[in-house]
Amino acid sequence: MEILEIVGLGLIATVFYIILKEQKGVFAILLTTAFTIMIFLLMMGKIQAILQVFEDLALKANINMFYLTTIFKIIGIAYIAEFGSQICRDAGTSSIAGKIEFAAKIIIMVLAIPIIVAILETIVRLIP
Amino acid sequence: MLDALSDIVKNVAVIILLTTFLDMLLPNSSMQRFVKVIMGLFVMVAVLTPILNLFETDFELSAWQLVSLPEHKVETVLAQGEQIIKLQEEQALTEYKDRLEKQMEALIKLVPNVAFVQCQTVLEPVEQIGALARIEKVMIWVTPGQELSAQDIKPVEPVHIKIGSDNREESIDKKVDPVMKEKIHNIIANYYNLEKENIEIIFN
Repeated sequence: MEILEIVGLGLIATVFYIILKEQKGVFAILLTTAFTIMIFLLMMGKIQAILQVFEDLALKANINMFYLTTIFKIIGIAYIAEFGSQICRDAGTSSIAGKIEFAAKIIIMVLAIPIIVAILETIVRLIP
Repeated sequence: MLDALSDIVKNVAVIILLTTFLDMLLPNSSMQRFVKVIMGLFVMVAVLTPILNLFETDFELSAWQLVSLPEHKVETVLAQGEQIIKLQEEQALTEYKDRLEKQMEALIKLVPNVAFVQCQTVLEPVEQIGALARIEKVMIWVTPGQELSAQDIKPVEPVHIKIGSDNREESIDKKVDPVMKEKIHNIIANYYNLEKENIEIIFN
């Protein structure tokens, strides 16, 4: 049961976090970061399997893979930005967290530009 | 038509399923709105593409995509480029040869008592692209005499053919003017830096 391992690890990390926060706040943040990275790496293999299934589905539905990979990238950026901003919030620096989210939003919009352009072109073609 | 429609419906069902799963994957933060909008756009593209394909067979949504088609392989393009270069080289050489011949004719006409002249040059084969071909040999046909104007040309007189009698006129050698030949030799040899044995002059 993988979830039990993760929950156990999470609880231990929380206990250590509370202890460290009282004595050495910097190490508490480092602990949170390490725990986040660990969970992310543990889930990496599973994420890959899910993405593979999505790719197969998209191929069956004749979807242009370019759009699907863009969506995957956007979801990945959203996750990474969320991890980073949450760590910053835990450390009490919500302004930095806000900046990370801002940057993530901009990057997501930039990645979405080809899709937006494609839709606009379609609409222009549809209108006589 | 019915097959195409059923294909579209099938594809749309798969796309909706796919996006629902993707929606579940989304992080639970303020960025969710952004990602959802883009997912909506993605669904629109995915649904519109097969419908548009139904109306226009040659239309595909392929914005900002570089697809290399087999006929546009680098090798093919390079080979075509080389062919074009060769063709241009040949054309340039032909033009160069024509101009050389015209230039020589103009030079020889400066020699007194030359009525008509025709030149032919043989160029050395060019091995390097862009290099200027050297002149290998020059053949010059010269007709001595005063240059004829339009008024001087007389109508063709009746031709009488006598069978059996050998009435050939003087040999060609009699027409050869050694001074003129030497002058032409010198002009062409000096101007084009050629050996005299590579210049052949024939008197008509």
